[in-house]
Amino acid sequence: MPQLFFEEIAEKMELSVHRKETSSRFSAQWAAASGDFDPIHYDQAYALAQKLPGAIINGRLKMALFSRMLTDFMGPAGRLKRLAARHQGMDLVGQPLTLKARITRKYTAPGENLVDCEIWMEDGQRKQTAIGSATFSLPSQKK
Amino acid sequence: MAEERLITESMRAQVGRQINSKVVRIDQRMVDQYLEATGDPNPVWRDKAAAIQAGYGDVPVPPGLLTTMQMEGDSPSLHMPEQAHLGGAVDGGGEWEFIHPVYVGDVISVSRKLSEIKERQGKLGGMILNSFEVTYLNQRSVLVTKSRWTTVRYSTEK
Repeated sequence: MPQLFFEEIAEKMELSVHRKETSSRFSAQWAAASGDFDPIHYDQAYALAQKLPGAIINGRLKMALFSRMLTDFMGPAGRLKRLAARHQGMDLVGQPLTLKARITRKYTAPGENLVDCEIWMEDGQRKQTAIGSATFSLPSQKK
Repeated sequence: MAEERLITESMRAQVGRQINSKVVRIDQRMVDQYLEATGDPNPVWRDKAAAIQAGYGDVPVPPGLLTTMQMEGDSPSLHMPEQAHLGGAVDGGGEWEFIHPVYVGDVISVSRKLSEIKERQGKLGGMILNSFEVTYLNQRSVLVTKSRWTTVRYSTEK
């Protein structure tokens, strides 16, 4: 996994788009991995009875996918410092998720090289279903 | 201020109080299940040599794992019986600060406090927005992570 350095970052830079296919199996796998077995995330009939449009992707799974996108981008020596997102739409199980990010600021703090970015997720109709921001630190090429 | 019809005095009395707590020992099985579900290939989460080369003291836990509900115990709905009649709950989102790394084998004490309660009208009808503040302390009482997040409760009656 390549390492990204602070000097390689530029404001307005866009991260590689992450796309994730979803399914009931994927939702059930996440339930087992996360300990959240709320049936609204994998049981269509139950979700409809809960007044939802169908089984929906778990919000914490969306956070985990954002986290993975960012740590993939940073490389091993990067550190995710902050992750925030508001779920403004529901993602139906079976629909693809597209994760995107754009650098908004790079700056230094005592002992750290920090990067802020905006993050968002789109559903199969390219509607934003989650929007937020993150901060991470990167190593410098200067010794 | 809009008239609040869903929020009762007993609900409001919970604001500022701890809703629940949990002690979680991070084990390799938790991490492996998480990595498999997210498809995360990063060697830092698996290999001690890669982790140390990346500047960690040991194999760290991926930060996304700390956002999972198992860290907080379970849904806050189960700890707020005064809202049980509403039936429905969805995640509104939140913010996590990863202050220090968490390692496999760490014992994390998690405390969840209700910080705010609001009422809104939305697609699901009348809704209660419960906001929480959650702290994660390791076995040395170091604050390693903190979060603020919101769950939306709504009536499932049609």
